[in-house]
Amino acid sequence: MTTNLAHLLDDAPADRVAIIDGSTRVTYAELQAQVARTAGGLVAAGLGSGDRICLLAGNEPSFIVGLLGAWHAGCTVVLLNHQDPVPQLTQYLEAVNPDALLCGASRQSIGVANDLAAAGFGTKLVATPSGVAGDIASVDADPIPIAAVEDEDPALLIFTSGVSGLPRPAVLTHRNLRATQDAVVASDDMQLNEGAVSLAALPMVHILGLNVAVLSTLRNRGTTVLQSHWNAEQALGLIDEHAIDTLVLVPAMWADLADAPGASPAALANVKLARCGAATLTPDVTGKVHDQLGIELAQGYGLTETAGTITFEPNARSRPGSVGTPLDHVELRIIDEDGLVDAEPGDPGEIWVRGDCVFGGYWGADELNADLFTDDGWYRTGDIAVYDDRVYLVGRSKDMISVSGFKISPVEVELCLESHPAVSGALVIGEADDRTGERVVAYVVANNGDTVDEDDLTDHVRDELARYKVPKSVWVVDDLPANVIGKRIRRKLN
Amino acid sequence: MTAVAAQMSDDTNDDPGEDDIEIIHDGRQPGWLQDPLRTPISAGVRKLWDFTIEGRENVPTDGPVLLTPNHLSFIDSMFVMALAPRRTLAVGKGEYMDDWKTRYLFPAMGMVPIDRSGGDSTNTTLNNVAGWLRMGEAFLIYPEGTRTRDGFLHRGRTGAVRLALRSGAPIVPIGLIGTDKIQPVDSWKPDFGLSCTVRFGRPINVVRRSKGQNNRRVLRTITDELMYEISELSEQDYKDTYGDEPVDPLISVGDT
Repeated sequence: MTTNLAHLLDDAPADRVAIIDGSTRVTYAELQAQVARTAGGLVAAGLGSGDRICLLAGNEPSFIVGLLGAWHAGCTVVLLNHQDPVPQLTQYLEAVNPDALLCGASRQSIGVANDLAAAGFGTKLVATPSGVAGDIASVDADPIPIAAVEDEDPALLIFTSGVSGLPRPAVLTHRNLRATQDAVVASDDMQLNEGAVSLAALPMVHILGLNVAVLSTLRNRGTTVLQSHWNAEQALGLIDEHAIDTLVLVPAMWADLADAPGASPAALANVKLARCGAATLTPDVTGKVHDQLGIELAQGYGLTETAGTITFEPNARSRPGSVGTPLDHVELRIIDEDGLVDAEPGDPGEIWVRGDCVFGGYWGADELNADLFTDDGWYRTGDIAVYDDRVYLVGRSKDMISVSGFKISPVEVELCLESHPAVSGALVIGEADDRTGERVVAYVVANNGDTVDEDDLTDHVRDELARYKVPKSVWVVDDLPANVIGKRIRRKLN
Repeated sequence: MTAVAAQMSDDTNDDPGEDDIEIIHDGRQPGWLQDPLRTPISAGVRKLWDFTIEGRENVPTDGPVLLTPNHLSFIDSMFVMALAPRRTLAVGKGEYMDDWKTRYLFPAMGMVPIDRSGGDSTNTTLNNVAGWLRMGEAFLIYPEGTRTRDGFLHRGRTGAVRLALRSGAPIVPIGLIGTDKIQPVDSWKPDFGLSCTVRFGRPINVVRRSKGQNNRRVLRTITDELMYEISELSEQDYKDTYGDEPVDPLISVGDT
């Protein structure tokens, strides 16, 4: 049986470096050994198949060891962001009630784990994975064979990004995660070659950073270079030092990288796959990356609920706004608003997907889960898109603003606002209006040293977009709410 | 008489190419009888019904233009063509050319006959209409593609915008109010003496709006903008679905 995701290390070249973290290098043989000893330790502590292990770690080797070790023992891993405040983590833990806490080697991870243990969680066990020497006990015992699991057994409980609703724990099975990894590795467009050297700068608690960047690289026997905190200048140094050829970042990181001292086409000459995801990629960013780094950005679209990428656009600059075409592992439809027919090409509709990568539902939300799927297995994503030879994202269904029955994507208005020279960022929401149902309201951040004139800004939008899309009011604010990967969260403005 | 509906073809790669215009029909240009008859017909309809007409000055008096009303009644085409300040053409079923009663009259009054068999014939008609627009004519098109059955203004088909991009014509949104009372959908004759409103909106410069792009998303975005302007003029609530009746990809059901 090779269903268990821990088998992804099977038959890996023993001496090849799997993980680089600063001066630390972990070969595949060492990684396998640490994973097997962690699993042994978990089982020795009375944990095993079906138990939920909460993993609290940053981008550090112990994250990967803990994750694979828990799977090796047949456990389900609950991923939490160790940088979240303790009260929020407590809330998440109450929702999923894990049997143990495994924390990373960093002082911050250990501190948070201890705080949570003191709050009453992880009473069975609080420990670090094997290989971590520190002031907290490691789970470390003789290796055990990889536990047998079923394809449909839950491998991961991972909280959604919470962009248009409260974060929810999505249950991803071994089958779900493997389906996306296989598709990523098999995709010709992605050119994720065997032995690729990949920078892991995205947080591994995010599905893009975890399943698409790190686990797919391991599956492909590549080397993952970890970066614990994003720093563009440091990233350039790592790219040079380790001849990194695969970069998966969010748009804001790409913009940072292009602006970093020392950024040049020569500095990124080795890069074969330059990928963007998880947030709207603007022509400004693709242009800047092309001009200053000599790179054509690729863009993907995926969800936590699909274990990562489901569509891929190899050249985002030549097709602005496109997230490409579906990968082979997923069926994708765009359904008209009435939910009964496929939208006509060019018309917006909701993305429905079906395939092995699609999750089965959220943890402990049976009632909600029943409404997520059609009788024939299509998952209603809540994302609105247009099919025009390729998939073009419009926005989240919940974020769409309806003015006199006309639907407005806040993203379209935000991009227009951000094209004004005085504006560095914008978030747009709908507010109740007695006459039109909703009205468009904008929150903007001014560029350093610039003053935003509301009338000037609304004139700018009126010049570019239809009248009903023009904000009725504009608020200038100091910053805009965002999540762990810098994705803006409109919900927090509502 | 009927009008072009918008969803003409899935093919957005319209090749402007050679316009296939039938400039002469039976020795005369379509609409040749409109010019001499527009004044008496306009006076006649104004006597028969109580019109409120607004924004007529918004219709350019020369050069290509698309006139795009909401669609409430069979009589809409006659009213718009009678009250517009210039000769206006519209497409009509090719079958009219087989009937001696309509073969001469309809083209003379502005009908450009089309073949509804689909495929290449659709493109031929598109080319034909684009050609007339490039010749500087005004063309009547119902973006909804069908008369409303529920009173709502429905999602627009994108053909009007596509033609505007091909020909450089501006689009004048038009709001009709009350024509559904004059001749309801299922009625074969109009009731006289009732009041109705015809509002001509400000032209939309589609070429400028498109910013040089011609894809389905741009067509949809500009069509939605057009429908918003029509909804403001017609005072209809908007429903973001296509009209109830299945439509021929090229023709409204104005006379079915």
